[in-house]
Amino acid sequence: MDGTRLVFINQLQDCPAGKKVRFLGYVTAYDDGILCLQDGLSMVECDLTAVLANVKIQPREWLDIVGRKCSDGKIDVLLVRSVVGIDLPKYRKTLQWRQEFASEWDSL
Amino acid sequence: MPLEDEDINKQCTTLTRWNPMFINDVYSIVFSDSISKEIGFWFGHPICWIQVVGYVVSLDFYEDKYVCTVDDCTSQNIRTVFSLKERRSLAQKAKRLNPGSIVRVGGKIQRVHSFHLLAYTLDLLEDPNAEWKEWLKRIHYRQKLQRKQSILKEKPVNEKLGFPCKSS
Repeated sequence: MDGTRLVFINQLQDCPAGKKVRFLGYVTAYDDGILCLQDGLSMVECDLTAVLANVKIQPREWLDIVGRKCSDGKIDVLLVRSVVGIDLPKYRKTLQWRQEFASEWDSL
Repeated sequence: MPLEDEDINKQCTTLTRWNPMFINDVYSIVFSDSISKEIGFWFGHPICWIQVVGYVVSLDFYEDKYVCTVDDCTSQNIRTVFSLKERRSLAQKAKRLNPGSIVRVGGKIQRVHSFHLLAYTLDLLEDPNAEWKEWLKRIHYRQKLQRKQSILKEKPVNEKLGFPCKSS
């Protein structure tokens, strides 16, 4: 079972197609099973078809997404979870530290 | 060389406490069957009890056990095993997990037939801030043990225990 890469939305472009990814974003649009998420200036389209029946989406809600990157850059969503109440500055800082340490550990 | 439990626990606090770890670090633990099947070494520290945090990828059931695969996005997953026979109420708790739930699982590594974590504790982390706090805890703990490893390297081997430890 392949592991998941934890990223910010602006890092999704560096992930190869087929890779399982996880990221946070807030809802800017949701129509016909296609969700648009944004974080800062970066946006991504997510296909919720696989999880549609289980999902209630609120506009401007922050979501935690696990999905696979498609060749066209969209994300095929596998799991979605609301993270309303998350401390975003602390989350971002911690994720940055995590990524910095991960690159140090990989180089050892 | 016989090992007295009291001696080893006094010298090596990492043996008796929960060690919060990232899953890729769990796979880097070095085991030596000549010392113990349950005790491994991480940055030179003997450890037994491990705690991982991540999202539930899948939940399966076979041979009287619930097997929950957990992913903490460090490029590896780990199977956490909940035995109905040995810890029934914990296994019943695991049965109610859903894919995507964020969990903290504590237990011991078992290497019989496959490499997995035999679960002794299970917490469902519903607070959206719980998971990143657990990442911070792991980063700090890892750094602390790495720093102590360089101090241990300067100490001679403890005659009774067979490896350097804090009072060598």
